[in-house]
Amino acid sequence: MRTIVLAVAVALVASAPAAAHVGVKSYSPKPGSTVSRSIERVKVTFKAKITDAKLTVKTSSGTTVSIGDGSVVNRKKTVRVRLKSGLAKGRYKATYSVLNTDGHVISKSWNFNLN
Amino acid sequence: MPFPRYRPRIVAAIVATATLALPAAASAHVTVQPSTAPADGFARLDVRVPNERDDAGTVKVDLQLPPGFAFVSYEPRPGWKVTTKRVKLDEPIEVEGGFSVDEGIGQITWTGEGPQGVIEPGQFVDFGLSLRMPKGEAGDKLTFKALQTYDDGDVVRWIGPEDGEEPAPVVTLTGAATGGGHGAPGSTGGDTSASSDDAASAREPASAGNASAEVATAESGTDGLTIAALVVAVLALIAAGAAFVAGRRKESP
Repeated sequence: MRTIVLAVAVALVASAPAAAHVGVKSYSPKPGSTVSRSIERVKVTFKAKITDAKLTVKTSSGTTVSIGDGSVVNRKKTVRVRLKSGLAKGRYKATYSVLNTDGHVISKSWNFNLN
Repeated sequence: MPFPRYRPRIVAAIVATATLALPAAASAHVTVQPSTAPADGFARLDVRVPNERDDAGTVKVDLQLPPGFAFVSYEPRPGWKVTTKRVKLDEPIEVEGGFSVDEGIGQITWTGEGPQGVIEPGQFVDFGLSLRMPKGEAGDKLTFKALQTYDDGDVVRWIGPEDGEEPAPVVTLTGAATGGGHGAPGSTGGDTSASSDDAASAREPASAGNASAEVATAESGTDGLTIAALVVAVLALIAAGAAFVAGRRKESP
């Protein structure tokens, strides 16, 4: 019986590798917010240092409106990308992907509106 | 629903299977455990450092990593300071999502400090690492060279061949990686071509809503290892339950 209990305990703690998923400290523009069409950049700031990240922005129909796939700044805590000028009013979707320091890649999207 | 009456033999078989999964006991050699890990997958490896001497303590361990490691995190241990040496890679390591890195981890050193930072005679320590394994084929052997320093200045060099006196720790790659990242599907083996960009764009977020609810996640993959561990755990739990029921029946008059 003791062996069985031990087996259960061992099975329950069977080691998985540590997965560090860095959290987002702030989005700009904020998810769901409406901001002026004059904004020039979109950015995401993480709570901790990352290895690398990309950021792109698209219209609701899927046309890319960001220039390049972003650059990592702020001591590897922020990824930002410039937007093309003369964007129309409407809804946009920004997507970032981040290469965490542990080698995991995570990708997320959020929406905002321009008016 | 009544619990099925497991025969003791079946219970024993299940327990035996679970027991086989137990980590190997400390041998006198410095080893890296377990001895296999999935190519391009994520793994926890332990550097097992037994003290072989009865008159000195181990106070420092250097582990040289073979090429191809770029992502390492280590388990903190009181009394031990951990330093990593980064190296420029000859060939960049490409990961999913179009990312690549040109700097890797060449060496990890554990240095004991104070009364807790010593492995005394009769003791061993597992220094835990969480790593993304290099790409490779099933059966590829990765050699980790290790130096074990005792407090009298003696250094044991675990850098020899596998059948030598002081063999270097070896880990053999398995082909079945659980996918390179959380965004990658778990069933495709080492194939990590499903880029996160695709995963993200394939997923249209819900219609206009408020603030934080708008953030969509592409982190859909689940580590196969975790599932396997859960399955084993559940099986063991069933076995324990069955044995418990059987035991009670026997005890009752």
